[in-house]
Amino acid sequence: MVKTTPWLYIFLILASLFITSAALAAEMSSKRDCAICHVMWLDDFRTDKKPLIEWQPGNVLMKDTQGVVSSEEICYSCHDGYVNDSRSIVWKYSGHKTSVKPSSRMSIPSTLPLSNKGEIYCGTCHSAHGAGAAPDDSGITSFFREKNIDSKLCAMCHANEADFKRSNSHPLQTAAFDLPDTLFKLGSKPGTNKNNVICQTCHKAHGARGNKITVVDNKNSKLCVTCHNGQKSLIATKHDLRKSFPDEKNIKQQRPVESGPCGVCHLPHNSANKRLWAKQLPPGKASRSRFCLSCHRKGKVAEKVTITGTSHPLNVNPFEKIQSLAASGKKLTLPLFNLQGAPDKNGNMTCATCHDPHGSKADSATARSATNINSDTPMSFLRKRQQDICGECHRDKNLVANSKHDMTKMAPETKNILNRTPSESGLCGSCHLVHKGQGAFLWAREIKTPDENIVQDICISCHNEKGMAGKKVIKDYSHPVNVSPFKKGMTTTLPLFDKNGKKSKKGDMTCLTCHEPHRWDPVKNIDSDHYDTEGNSQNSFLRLQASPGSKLCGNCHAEKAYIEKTDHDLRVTDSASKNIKDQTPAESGVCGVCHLVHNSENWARLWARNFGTGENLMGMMCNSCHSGKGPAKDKIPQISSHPQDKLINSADRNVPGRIDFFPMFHKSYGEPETLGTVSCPSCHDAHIWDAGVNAKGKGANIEGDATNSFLRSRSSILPCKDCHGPDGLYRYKYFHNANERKANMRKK
Amino acid sequence: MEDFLSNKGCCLIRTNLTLICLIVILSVTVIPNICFAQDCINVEFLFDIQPNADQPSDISIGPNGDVYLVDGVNHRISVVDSRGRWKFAFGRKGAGNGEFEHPLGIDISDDGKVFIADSGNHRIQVFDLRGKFLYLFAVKSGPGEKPSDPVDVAVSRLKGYLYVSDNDNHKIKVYRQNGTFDFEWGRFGEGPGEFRYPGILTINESNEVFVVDVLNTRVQKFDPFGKFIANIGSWGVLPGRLFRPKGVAVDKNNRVFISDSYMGFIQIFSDLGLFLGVVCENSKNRKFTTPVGIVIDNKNDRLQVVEMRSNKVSVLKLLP
Repeated sequence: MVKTTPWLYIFLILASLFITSAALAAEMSSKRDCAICHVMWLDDFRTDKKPLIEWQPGNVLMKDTQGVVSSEEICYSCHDGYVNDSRSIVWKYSGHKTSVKPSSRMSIPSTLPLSNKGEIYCGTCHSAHGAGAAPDDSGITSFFREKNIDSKLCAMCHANEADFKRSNSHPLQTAAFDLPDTLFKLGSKPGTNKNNVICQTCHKAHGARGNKITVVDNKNSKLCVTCHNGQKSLIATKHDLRKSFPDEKNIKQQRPVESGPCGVCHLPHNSANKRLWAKQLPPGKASRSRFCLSCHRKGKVAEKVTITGTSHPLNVNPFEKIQSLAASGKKLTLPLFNLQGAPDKNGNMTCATCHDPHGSKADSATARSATNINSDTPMSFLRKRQQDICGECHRDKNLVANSKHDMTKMAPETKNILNRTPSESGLCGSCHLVHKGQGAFLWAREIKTPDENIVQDICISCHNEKGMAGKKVIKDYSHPVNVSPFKKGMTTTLPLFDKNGKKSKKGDMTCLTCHEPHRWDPVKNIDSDHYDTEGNSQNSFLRLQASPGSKLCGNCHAEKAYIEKTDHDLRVTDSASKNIKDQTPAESGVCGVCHLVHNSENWARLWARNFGTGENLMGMMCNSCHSGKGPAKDKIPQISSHPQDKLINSADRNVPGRIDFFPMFHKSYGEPETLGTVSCPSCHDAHIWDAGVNAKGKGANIEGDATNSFLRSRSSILPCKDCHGPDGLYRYKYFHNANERKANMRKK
Repeated sequence: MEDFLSNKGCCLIRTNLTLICLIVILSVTVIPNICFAQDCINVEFLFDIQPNADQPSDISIGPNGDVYLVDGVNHRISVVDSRGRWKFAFGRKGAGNGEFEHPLGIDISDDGKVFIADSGNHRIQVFDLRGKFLYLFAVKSGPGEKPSDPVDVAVSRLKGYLYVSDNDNHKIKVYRQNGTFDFEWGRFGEGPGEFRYPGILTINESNEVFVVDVLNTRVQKFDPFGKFIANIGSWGVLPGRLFRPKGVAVDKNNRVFISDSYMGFIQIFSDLGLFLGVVCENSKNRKFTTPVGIVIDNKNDRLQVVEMRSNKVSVLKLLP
């Protein structure tokens, strides 16, 4: 026994050591797994030996409260590459803030605990025991406290941003278009629906390369333009304020170099208004244009490019304003906008209808110089070439191209009031300025002879002796303008204008009443070069043809148009005859045979023929034709005059429209008068063959009688009776033949 | 029964039982603690190498004495001379020849080949001492394995074996220097020869392999063919215990230096696991900031410690 005892002791010692170690080993596994992170749970701290590291009391057993277990050092002890390599993702680049208190505006759910200091820490989002601790679909275990499907975990705290409509933030959980693959190559995380925007589309809680934990550094808006590629063209334009206005700040007091070129005007979260607007909008009615006025107004950064003077109307629907556009049934390729500033095909015209503030291909040359603000032009940031822009709505004006009113062809060296040549200003810009124009027509040329009516002013600005249209000047003895047809009892479908150039049914007759300066030919659509074509009464920018018929003149002078196809329509009776402009009836038109609208040699009735003989001006006009060499040489009355010393009072009958209308005219001036002498037009209306019919002629040279023959009156109550008693009837009927008159009187 | 207890034999048994109980108690409490007695292995701080790295991980010394540092977050290897002066760097981010994706481990052969564990690219790349790319080979995964995660490589004088720790697959994979796979051992677990995230490797003069078994909080020692020899270090925070072992190096006396990145200390063991002491400075435990890869410059009796989060290498003189 004595001999065996030492061996027994040794055996027992070894056995006890083995048993103890085995027991510890069996217990170790589960404890060890916990203590991989929960270092302060180690029993080593509860011995009388001094551990290598200090015991840190507090929080160790407090559930969901930061302790050593969720310290950065514990995380890093595995994520340094030797269990998992998160060095770049977490510790090289930007990550979600920790060790800071959340904003007081935030409501942090109880399931996402803050530290005992009320600060965000790793354990706020992460826990080895949370609902999100299992691997996600991609096999990655993020140890989230809650599953972060479609950034739902983010939204638990960032509820304001997630409620994007209320907070004027970037849309979330929606797909406006297919998100590009390049976005995901940058590091964006796709949502359940790949094209839905989620928080992690733009942000990374770890490994973010940019400020505000954006996936990439967004100081040059790289992240924005990855999706909004069409807006990329803004870079290096004047709207890239990093260079043009580097000190300008958005509502978050960020300078362009901080916000990036997009952030100058748009904020993805908590913006000032719709469109993620990063500026304070000016007061006024809701409109897309207000966004532009945030800067383009007095006292603001772009006050040098403010909309002053007369500009193109805004906030109007072009389909309602432009009849030709509505009638075309075509849609615009330019955008219209609703009151909230969103594109709406039924919306209104705004600045953004013509301008793309993000820069467009069309004007890249003019918009590129981001630092030279003063080089800006009205064409900057246009969505298309200027004439294409204008022509979108004003399609009927496109035909001005290649016509005599195409200044690029006719007067390429001239300049508008902005000192720009036609090639610089564009086809339309030669005559019209969308901004800073003059008058209702946004006139771009110098108005040299300001008059009562802007329409005349703008036409005369070129059509004057020294103007570029000096050969086409309207001189005296032309059709009156600035008179109201309405006041003269006329009706017309041609446009009339008020003094300011605005169309008015009761307005005045102006140049633009007869002329449409954008269309050379009222019938044909000519788009080829025709600027060197000499005009005639069928084109010459007339709204209606003035020949061969009387469409144009007759539109106002409807009762005069009955002359067509009568004996006084010389196309019928003498087509070879010519007026003083050496025009045949076919060239001058039926009216132009006797009247010249512009530049007649005769003030009276703008007479287009040489006067005939006689004492009375009106008779002399008739005798132009009813004379020996005239077209009506076969219709020369033996007697064609009434004694000029006999003054007739026609007060009761000198009323147009009366059946016994019997006008008097001044014998020298031809002006209508009540007490005067009898002349040809007292009895005859040269424009109506049969006063009882009020119709055009039949196109044949017809022999007349006392019921037609251009006679005015169909009444037996003739003024002749006033002086001549019953004989007056015969004196009237046989007025031109003294023998017949006397014979008949004798018969009586 | 009373008779039995009253005789001398009974007294003897009582005495023996008392003694046995005493021995058992002592064996459980006192004897193990003998191992935890704090001892200091003193070093003297010489200088820091600060090669503008970002969270460097591992280090090796070339035959010419230059120090090669794995600057993995910058996807490059930085080279300084033995006095810490900058020489050059090679590599950049990418998957081409000579490019890296978060490399972690390094070793240099006697003939001057630089072996890099190009972890993110799942391969070993080989360079000359001037950083010229020589060749590479893939560390392949077996059926059912995760993509390989080679976090370190160690080159042996025995057959030129390259030992590669495949961290995610919990294996040591052995290749010939030409990249031919030879054999492997290990699996996930806590037993001998099993691993939970094997990390840095080193090889002693006897060609024995030391593997840091990170989450098993130990270093395992194997013969050159993967046969388990010993566990070095155990779980805990007392002296002689490990919490996050990361680096391992063996000096000319076959002492095993193990860095602990969480506790911030380097402890020294015999090659069979006997705790020898903590690296101290002026007889006080020398604290490091996340020490990971370590290397011993036997020529100069230096201990060089990569401090990952300090982005530097501490160079210390090993005192006798």
